[in-house]
Amino acid sequence: MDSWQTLFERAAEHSITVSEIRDAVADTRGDTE
Amino acid sequence: MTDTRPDPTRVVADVDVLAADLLVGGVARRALDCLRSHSWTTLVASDSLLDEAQGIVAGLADTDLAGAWRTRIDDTRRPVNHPAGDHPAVASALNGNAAHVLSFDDRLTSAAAGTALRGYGDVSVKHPDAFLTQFDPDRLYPALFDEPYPGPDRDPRA
Repeated sequence: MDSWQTLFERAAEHSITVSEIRDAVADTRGDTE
Repeated sequence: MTDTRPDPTRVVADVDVLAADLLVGGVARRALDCLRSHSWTTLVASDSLLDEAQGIVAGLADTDLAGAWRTRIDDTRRPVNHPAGDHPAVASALNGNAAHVLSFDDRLTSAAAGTALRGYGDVSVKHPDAFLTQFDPDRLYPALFDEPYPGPDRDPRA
């Protein structure tokens, strides 16, 4: 099992923003603001 | 629901905060570091909450990372069940006796949502920033365990 440190280092290879995450969650949930 | 009184040491992170903890860092990671650093706190999450978060991570990053994250978070969280179709974070809190839900969703953190949620239980939905301001281990620990706060007792990066 990977440590949190390893996971965070792997994740840092991607450049993701909170806005992108919120949009993806809204799409998944079918939100219509 | 097993108890009507929410446990201030139990916390639910909504999908956006779980994903931001992993993929972004910032305030989401600082908030969840509070839990990772203290063995007497508990991250509560249903399978459906983690399924959704894993799907978001897989979609935005990659499936290998999402799978590795799921293995790690499964080892960390306290599982809870709730009816299909319920909001996974709010339902995890209500059924897992958690006092806090962390979310970036303004609709959940609004005063109106708070008022509506009080009809179901005493759960409080907070932006991670607000959680960091309000969750004070130095004050909470003595109130719960009748001992001075010993400081963080876990490596949040382990």
